[in-house]
Amino acid sequence: MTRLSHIAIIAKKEFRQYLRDRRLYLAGGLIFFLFSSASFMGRHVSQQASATERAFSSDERERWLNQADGMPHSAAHHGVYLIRPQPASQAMEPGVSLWTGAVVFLEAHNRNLFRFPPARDLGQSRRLGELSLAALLEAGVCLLVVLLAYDAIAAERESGTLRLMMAQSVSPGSIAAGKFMGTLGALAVALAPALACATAVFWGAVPWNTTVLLAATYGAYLLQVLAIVLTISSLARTSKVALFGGLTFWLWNCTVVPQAAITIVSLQWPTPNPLELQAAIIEEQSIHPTLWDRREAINRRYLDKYGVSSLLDLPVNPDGILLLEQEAYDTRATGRSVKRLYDIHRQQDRSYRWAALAAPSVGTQSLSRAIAGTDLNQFHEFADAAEEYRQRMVRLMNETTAYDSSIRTGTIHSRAEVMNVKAGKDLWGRLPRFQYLPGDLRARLTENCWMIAASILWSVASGAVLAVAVQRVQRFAA
Amino acid sequence: MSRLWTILRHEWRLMYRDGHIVLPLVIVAITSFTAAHWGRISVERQRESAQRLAAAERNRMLREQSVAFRLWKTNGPFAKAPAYGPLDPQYVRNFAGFSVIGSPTPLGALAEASDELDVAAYKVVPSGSIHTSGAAHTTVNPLQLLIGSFDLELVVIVILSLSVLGISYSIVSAERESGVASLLLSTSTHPQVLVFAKVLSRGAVVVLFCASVAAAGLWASGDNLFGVDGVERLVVWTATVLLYGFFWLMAAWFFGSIAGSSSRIALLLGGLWLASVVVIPSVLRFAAARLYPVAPRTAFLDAIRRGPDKVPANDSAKQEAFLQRHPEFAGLSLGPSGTAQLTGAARSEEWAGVLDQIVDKYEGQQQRQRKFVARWSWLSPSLLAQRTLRDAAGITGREERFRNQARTYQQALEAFYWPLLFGERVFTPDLYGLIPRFQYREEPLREVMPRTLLLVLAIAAWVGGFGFAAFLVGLRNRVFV
Repeated sequence: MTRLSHIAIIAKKEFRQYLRDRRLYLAGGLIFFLFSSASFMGRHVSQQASATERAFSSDERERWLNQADGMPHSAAHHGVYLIRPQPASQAMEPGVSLWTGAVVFLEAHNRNLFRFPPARDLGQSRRLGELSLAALLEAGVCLLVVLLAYDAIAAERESGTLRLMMAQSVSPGSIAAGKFMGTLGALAVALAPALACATAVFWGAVPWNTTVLLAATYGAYLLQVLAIVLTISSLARTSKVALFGGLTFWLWNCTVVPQAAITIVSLQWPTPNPLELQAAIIEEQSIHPTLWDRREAINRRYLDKYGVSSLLDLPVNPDGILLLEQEAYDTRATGRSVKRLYDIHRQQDRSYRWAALAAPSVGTQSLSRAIAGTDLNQFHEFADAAEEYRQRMVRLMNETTAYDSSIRTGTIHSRAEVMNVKAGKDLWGRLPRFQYLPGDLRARLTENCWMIAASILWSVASGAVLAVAVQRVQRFAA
Repeated sequence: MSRLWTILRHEWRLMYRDGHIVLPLVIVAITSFTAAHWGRISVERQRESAQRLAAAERNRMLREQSVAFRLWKTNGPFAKAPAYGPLDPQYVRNFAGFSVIGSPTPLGALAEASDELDVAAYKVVPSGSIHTSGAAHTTVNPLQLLIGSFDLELVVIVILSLSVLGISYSIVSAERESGVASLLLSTSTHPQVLVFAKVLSRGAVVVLFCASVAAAGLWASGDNLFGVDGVERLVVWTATVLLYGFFWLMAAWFFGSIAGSSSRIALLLGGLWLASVVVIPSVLRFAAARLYPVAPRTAFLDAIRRGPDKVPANDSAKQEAFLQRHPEFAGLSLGPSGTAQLTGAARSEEWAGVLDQIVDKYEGQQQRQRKFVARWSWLSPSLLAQRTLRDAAGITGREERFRNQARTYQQALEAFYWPLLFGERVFTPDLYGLIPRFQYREEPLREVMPRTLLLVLAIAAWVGGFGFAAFLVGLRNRVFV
């Protein structure tokens, strides 16, 4: 008999054995339930989020354009809320999108952080009850592979059939390949209804190229996990040790490495907590003289420069100049703090990716988030675009206050040494609508080329390790 | 009894030889102490940053006070504030206030990642709503929020439970599969004795696991242990860890007694683990969200934006209503600025009332969701354990308490600023030292205990239920058949 026919016979026998085993149907049922729940929930949440985003953005624009006449700087203080649009693929792979704030308030003086992470409103808990299609493929299917295949080779050794097979000149490589193919077939049977249900739920809702790439990423991951579990099974002396090894691998892959890696990088590059951030802003603002002293100095400077005694006789509004100066200080203070925060997040993200060498799930997760457009980079790109828009809005309001004489009322404020100004719809309309185009799929993949390389490396390495490990089966067979 | 002891010793030796004690124990101990160490660092940083912010705000206040002193010395004394500046109470309120900072959770290092989404500080001003004044929200990397930090709660819920399952899933089936059970049935030794011995030997290992987690918890608590209720909280926490560990042992015993092969038991226990840790909590949260839907936050923001329109624009009626609510200001003779301030305060108070209704509607739904999940959490021992661990660590309900205390502090600020604002008084430099400060008060353990004990009892009921059922199956002598 040829090597190929050996593999085919073992694969067929393994596949039939799985089909006879009620475990497969039990696991398939559980996976179907989980996949269908995750798909429906993901689709529901995603649809709700995009409907809300459309309605809120349009209402907010209307509110800005139709606000009452008043001081431009007050308008900048009342500000604009921006809501972050979510890609359709969020329904499959929510990524970090549920944990970043959904809304940012753009106002004068402050670069605010995003608020209201949807996870909070959904009552989501990081530890218990994370149910998304991507999370299930990463952790749930990995556990399924461990529970189905842990004894694939170890049980043959325990029962003595391994020795028998070898006595019939079946090579260890053929045994491993046959077991691999047979288990893969059984997994396909267990996963088919669940994947069919998920496909039906997301049909037409998620771009096909995203779906195909996600399927390829998780397909490769499944093969890697299966190869690793079979390696453990071939090295373990008993089924019990194989199960223990399999569960330890699952823990290592899905919990220990990701969580330890993110904790280590967050200790190495600590994120300033909200209190530190606020303290840093106050400390930076304290470098400059107080508002009172600066107002006096600017008023005096302009009165002296133009040789007049009343603010009303000045061609420029010193209060506008003060606001521009103040905004520059505040943007520097808050902007620098927030930029530092986001830079640290980026650094943490970059360093975290090195953990892809320690566990296949890390690279798969990173790649999956990038394909779906729900990774940290996408969030930062949007946050930077929002900050650019905020600066534009505040600059427009403050420059109008400083240099546009048509909005001056010709009176001085009763409680402060400033000119009264009043603007209206003309000014509000000069601020264009916020527009944002997310990076395309090709760019996202280019950014994650190292994660693609890590996934390929794991596929090759897990296959090679299995090939080496099965050669040792002979040694343990007796 | 001597047979039991012999089997017990034999089992222990076997487990020791096969590495079933040392390896998982090392894993649990290393992960526990690592998580505890990181928890300690995190809590220490929280404390340091709270001190840093308090110092920065104090320095800011002192700078304004020094300008006030200079003005007072060069141009004072003043009967009225000389324009918007450091002698004007309105300016001081806006530029020299203090943030309301919540102190670190008593035993926060035990579950340091659980409160990362909570508000860390409020910027409270008199005459405003706490919901619209600034609040310091999380700065944690969203990636870290998604993945979850490596803390002791994770060790207990995930690593401890899987370690217990790893050592005990074949507690009965191994004997059945090796043929020892058939042999035993032909001797005078009751199979139940063997099973008892095996359960007891695994129980001893579970105690060792839990002891290492508890030691890590003790180390993580640090000086906080000697704070108010520290020891009692740690005792409750440790008891929960122990019960949770035994829950998985009893589950393994029960499934081992009723199911066939080791692989089938492993699959069933894996299913139970998934159900307890992922499926039930998720389904409960989804059901709660469907039963008590919360309007999206954007709808909440929209309501805040449109809210002032709901407050009628009649200022004199507002003033009258305000004076009825605050009769201490009824006899005050008001100048134009004082009148404007009073009108502003009346408007803000009324607006805050409207806003509270909107927020209450929103948070009321969230509370109902939480209550729903809590009511049904007995379905998942992992959820029960998580709630108990958080209760013991002092995390549960902390955000709500913090907000309520911040509201009370706002009233103290109003009592301080309003007479100055309405009476158009100067904010003299010496008043800077009298600005009220905030101090967070922890929830006393006697208030926590009743609900925590209920949760502990619920976990104990699961442990007892599985143990009793497994015992009954064993009594019928069908374990090895």
